[in-house]
Amino acid sequence: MLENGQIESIFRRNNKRKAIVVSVSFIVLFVSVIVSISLGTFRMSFTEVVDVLFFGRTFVDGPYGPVNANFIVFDIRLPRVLCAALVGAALAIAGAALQGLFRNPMASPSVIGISSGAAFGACLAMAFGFSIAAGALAIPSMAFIFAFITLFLVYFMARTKLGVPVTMLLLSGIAIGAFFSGLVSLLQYIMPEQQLGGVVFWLMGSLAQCGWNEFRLILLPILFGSMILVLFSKDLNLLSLGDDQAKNLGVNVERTRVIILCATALVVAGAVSVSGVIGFVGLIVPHIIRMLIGPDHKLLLPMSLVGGAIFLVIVDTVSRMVITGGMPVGIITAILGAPFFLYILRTRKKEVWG
Amino acid sequence: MGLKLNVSSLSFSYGKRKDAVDDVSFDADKGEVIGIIGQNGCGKTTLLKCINAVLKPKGGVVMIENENVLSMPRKDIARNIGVVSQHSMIIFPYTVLDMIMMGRYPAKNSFESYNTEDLEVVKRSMAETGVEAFAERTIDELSGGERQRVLIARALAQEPEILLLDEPTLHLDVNHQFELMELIRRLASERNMLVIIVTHDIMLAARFCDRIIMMENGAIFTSGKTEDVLTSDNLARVFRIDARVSYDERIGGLNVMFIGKSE
Repeated sequence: MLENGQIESIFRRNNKRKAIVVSVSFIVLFVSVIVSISLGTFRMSFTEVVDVLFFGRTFVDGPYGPVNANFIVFDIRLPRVLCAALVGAALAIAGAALQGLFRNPMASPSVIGISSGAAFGACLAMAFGFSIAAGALAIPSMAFIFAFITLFLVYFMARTKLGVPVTMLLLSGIAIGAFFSGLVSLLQYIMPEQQLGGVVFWLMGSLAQCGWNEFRLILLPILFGSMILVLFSKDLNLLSLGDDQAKNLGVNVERTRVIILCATALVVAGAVSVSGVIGFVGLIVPHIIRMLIGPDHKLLLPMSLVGGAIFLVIVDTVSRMVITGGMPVGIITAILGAPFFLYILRTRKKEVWG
Repeated sequence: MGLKLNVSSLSFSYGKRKDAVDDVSFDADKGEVIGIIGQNGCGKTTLLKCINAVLKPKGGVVMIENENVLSMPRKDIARNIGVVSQHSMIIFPYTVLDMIMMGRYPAKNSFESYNTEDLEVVKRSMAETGVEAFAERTIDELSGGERQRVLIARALAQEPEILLLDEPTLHLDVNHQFELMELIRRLASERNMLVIIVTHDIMLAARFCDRIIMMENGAIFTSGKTEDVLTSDNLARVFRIDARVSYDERIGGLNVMFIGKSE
C-alpha cells in the first residue's frame, strides 16, 4: 500500500520530468543548429556564429582576410539548416503519428509509401512545369494531393473487416510505394534532359536546393499539420491501444483517424516537396525517442519534432562535410536506416507482426 | 427515470452469415451483477459489443435510461459504460498511471488535458482495485491478474454506471479469480453499478451473479435468477454436460459440480 499523496507526487514528478526533457532537447537543437552553421568550406567558431546571428556582426577573419560571414550565415547556411530542421521534424512527427495510429513500430512515411506518392506528385509538377503556371505552390500542393491519395489507397487496401492488420498495411504500402516509384521512373524517362539532373538529385533526398523560399513554402503546412497532430495526442494514445479499446473509451475512431491521416499527409508532403525522399527519419527518430521517454504521445509527438530536427540537422551537416558540395542526405539516412529497420524487425518481432 | 439498461430484440450478424446475436431482449438495473454464459461462439462477446455500440446491430435497440445508444456520441456512451474486453496485444508500454488516466478521456473536451481532479478519480479507482503499488510500472511488466485489475481501474476511471466485462477471470489462477469476482461484487454494491460479465466459469457465475442469461446460438435460451437458470437440466441442454447443482451452506450460495459429458 502506498502512502497518501504518493500518486500525486508521481504525477507531479512526471510533469516536471517532461518539462526538463523538453527544455534540454531545445538546447541541444539550438547548439546543433549553431554548430551546423559554423561548419563548411569556410569554418567559423561557435561564438562567431552567435555574434553574426544575434549581435549583427558582419565580418569574420578568414585565412585570406575578413569574410562576409553575414552573407554566408543568413543567405546560405541558415535557410538550409532551418529547412533541414523543419523536414526532419515533419518526417519524425509523421512517423510517430503513423506508428501510434497503426499500432506498429515499423510504420513510417517512407515504409508505407506516402513519401513515394508525394514524390510522384512533386515530380509531376516539376516535369510538366506546373510551377510556371501555378506558381511556387504547385510542387507542394501536388505533393500533398498525392501523399493523400497514397495514404488512403494504402489504408483501404490494407483494411479488412477486422481492422488494419499490420502485414497487410506494410505489404500494401510496399506495393503502392513501388507503383508510384515506377511512375516516377516513367516521368524521368520521358522528361526533357535539362530537367532530369535536378529531379534525380532531388529524388535522392537532398537539402542542397533549400533557401529561404523553400523554407517559407513548407513552414506553414508543417507547422499546421504538426499542431493538429500534437492536439490529437490524447486521442492517439487511445488509438494506439487498438480500435475496440479506443471506442470503448469514447474515441470517435473513424473521424479521428481521418484527421490524423490528413495532418500526416500534410507534413510529409511539405517535407517531400523541398527535399525529395529522405527515408527512415520517420522510423528511427520516434523509435529512439520512445525508448528514451516512453510511449505517451503527449510527449512523444513534440519530442519527435525536436528530435527529428536535431537528427536531420546533424546528418545534413555530415553530408555537407563528407563530399565538398554535399552528398544527398537521403543516401546517408538510407544507409543508416535500413540496418536500423532490420534491427527493430529482429528485436521487436512481437509488436511488428501484432 | 427509466431502467438503467434495456435491450430489446437485438440482432447482429457478421456479413451474410447466420445471426451471431438473434433477437436478444433483457432489462437490467443498477446494483445487479448479471452473468452471460453459453458455449463458445454463442454470441456473448458480440452481444457485449452491441450494447456499447462498438458493433452496430442489424435490428433492435439498446437503451440507457431511455436513450438509444446509437444516437449517443461515443464519449457519452463511454461516460455511461465502461468495458474491460479480453486481453488484447499491448504494443506500446504505457505506465499503469498513464493507462488508467486514459479512462478520463470521455470526461474531457477535445483538447483539454488531464488535471488534478482527474487524478483524484484515478486515485480512487486505483485504490478500489488495489493497483496503486504499480503506478509507475509499465503495463507489459504486469502479470495477467494485475493487468486485468489495471484495465478495470481504467474502466472505473470513466465513472460509468454500467460495467461490461468480457471473460475477466480468463488466464487467472484460482486465487485471483476469487479476488476479482469479490472486487466486482463490491463495486456493484458500493458504487451501485450494473455489472454484466461474460464468462465461461459457471462455478464463479453461480456464486457471484444475481442473474444469469444463458445463451445458445445467438439467442437467449433462458434467463432469470441464478438459482432458476443454473439447473442440471439447463446445463445439460445448453452445455451437454452432466452437472449437479446444490445449495451449499459453506458457500452460502450455489455449488456446481460437473460430473462429465452427457450424451
